[in-house]
Amino acid sequence: MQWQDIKKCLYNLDYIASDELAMSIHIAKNLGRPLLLEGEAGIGKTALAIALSELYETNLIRLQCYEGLDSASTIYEWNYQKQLLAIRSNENKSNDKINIDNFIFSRDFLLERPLLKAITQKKAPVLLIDEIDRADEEFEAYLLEILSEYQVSIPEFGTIKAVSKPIVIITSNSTRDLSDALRRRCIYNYVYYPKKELELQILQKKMPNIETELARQIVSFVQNLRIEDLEKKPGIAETLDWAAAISGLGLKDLSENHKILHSTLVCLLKTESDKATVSLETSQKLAKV
Amino acid sequence: MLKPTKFLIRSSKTSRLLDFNHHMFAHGFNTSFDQATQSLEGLQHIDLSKIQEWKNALKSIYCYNFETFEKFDELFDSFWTNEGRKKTNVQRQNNNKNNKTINTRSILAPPEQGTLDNDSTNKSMTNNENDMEVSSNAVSKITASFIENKKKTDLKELIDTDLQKRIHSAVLKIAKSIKHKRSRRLLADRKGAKLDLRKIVSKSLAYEGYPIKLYKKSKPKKPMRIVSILDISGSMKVYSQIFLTFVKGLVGVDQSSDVYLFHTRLMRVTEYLKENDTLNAVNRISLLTEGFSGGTKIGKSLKEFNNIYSKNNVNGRTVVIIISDGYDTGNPKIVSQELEKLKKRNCKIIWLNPLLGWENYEPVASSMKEASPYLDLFAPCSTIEDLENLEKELCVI
Repeated sequence: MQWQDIKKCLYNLDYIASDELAMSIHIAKNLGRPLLLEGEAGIGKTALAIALSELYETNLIRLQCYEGLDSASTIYEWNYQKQLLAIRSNENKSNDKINIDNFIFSRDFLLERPLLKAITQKKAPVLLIDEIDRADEEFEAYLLEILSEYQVSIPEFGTIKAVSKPIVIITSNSTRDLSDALRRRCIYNYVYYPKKELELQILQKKMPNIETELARQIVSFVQNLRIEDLEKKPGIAETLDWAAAISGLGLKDLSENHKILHSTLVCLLKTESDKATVSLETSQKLAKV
Repeated sequence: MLKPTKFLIRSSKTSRLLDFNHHMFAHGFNTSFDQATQSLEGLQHIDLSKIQEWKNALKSIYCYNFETFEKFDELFDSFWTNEGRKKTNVQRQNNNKNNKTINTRSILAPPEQGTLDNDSTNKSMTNNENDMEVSSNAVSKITASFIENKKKTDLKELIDTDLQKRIHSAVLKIAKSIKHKRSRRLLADRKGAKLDLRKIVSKSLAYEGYPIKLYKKSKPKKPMRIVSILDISGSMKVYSQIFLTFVKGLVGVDQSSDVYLFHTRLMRVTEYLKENDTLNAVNRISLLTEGFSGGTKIGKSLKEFNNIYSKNNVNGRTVVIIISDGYDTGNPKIVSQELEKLKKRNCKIIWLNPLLGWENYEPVASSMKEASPYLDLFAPCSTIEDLENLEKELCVI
């Protein structure tokens, strides 16, 4: 599958990717490398992983990162309750200790967490490691073995090698700098806010019932709003929410009712200072542009 | 169609890609042989007759952060299409030639009136310093610099070989003094407050499930991270080399430290300061800062910092050290607005002002007045002793 085909297939799955992004997916897939996506929140990084799992008709395994995430909740854990029961049930039997040890540290007692699960699937899944910047730096070190060798070492059991190489998508909202070692192992793409034409396409694809003129007005309003000095600029997700709100309220034109328009801006502006920055007059001006 | 490249003799794809690898490395990309092999492999899967496909494929492979992603297109065009970077290359060559004899005193002073003559730069730098000293002496404002004891010597006069060692020891003390903050992550600890159930259960397997030994865990302390923002404008010229050595020391002590320079605009220089040789590091930075014009725009630079970098680099475990005299040619209101935004990231803000060591100094500069409500610490830094004293102050905040 060439990058143009990936782009086309993603389009059919309601995900409109830029040429650069489609090429990054193509290269990452062919080189068997993880794809690291950075960019502002709400511009479709997570949605890409979901679309890719549909494209390749495979499972999506998602690992949501947070501070304090460790190997026990991401790679594997022994099922201790089951192990204790197994020891007790074998107590009166004449089995020697080595046999019990081998028994309780076997695959049956292993609880697979997302990363181990991802490399033990017959059909390569899409592994989404979401918002990796929220996890600790130590967690990145765990990831390195898996992302470079596609294997997991378990001291009591041995090394589990990948049955199939998952398609790994790592997303980051850039709330902290990732380590060079992790970046070096990945194919990189920075997802920008979409340009006007692309955003219009996305809006029309996601909301086919919206009128073309209203969609055009919504997109130019949001594009102009992003030029304003805001703390949190609206992403595509916000544009879609706002478009749904506008069409839900029955507005046919943005300049139809400025008060209603202004009150719907809660979908786009997410901080108090941003709300203060975009006054009624500002929103009127933006609607007219 | 591809336009002819600069490497007509070595026309094979592999050698061109290797040259491109060197080209990217020379322009600050962290490239290795790995990228070249990946490129060769990656290019097998695209249509080589279309340059846009080359560009997108190589961009995915060579870029690794936002800055490199932004810079890539220009560098790609300059290599494969002979566009864009000619002038810069000429400048670099000239600069390299000059670097051979560059004097540390002139490092942070870009040649005035566009000249690259080093001797004249040194002279003008020395003259400027003398002028500054004369004017300062005339108004009898410097108190610390007239005492013979080296510890009390104003930093601008202290350019001897002992400098780096002294500053380095001060930096070490400061780095140690910045408090650790507790992590949410739990790690094994013999005296920990919480029981490590996972370990207790796994170890008790050997005793038929009876928890004979108790294992504990606690939240370890995580170090604070230092982000330095250094003013290298005209008014700070005499001090900036010293402070650059100071921040270079901070990066040396803690590799997660981050350093920015500003003048009328802001520039991140952390990568350049990671070089082992202080002189080389400072030389590279002096080349980078050549384009800076006169004047100081603290507010604008802080705004740039907030918009682009603070998201990645500032959180509750960060100490932001701003080193500036507070003289600003921009709107002082912006300084307070941007510091307020920065403060919302739950960081500690320290402002080091070399003028604070002067007798009867008051923060009359309007930017300094606007900034003061948001500062956790406002301290002098005109002498080595001041820098060493910072340790005590930092323990408190």
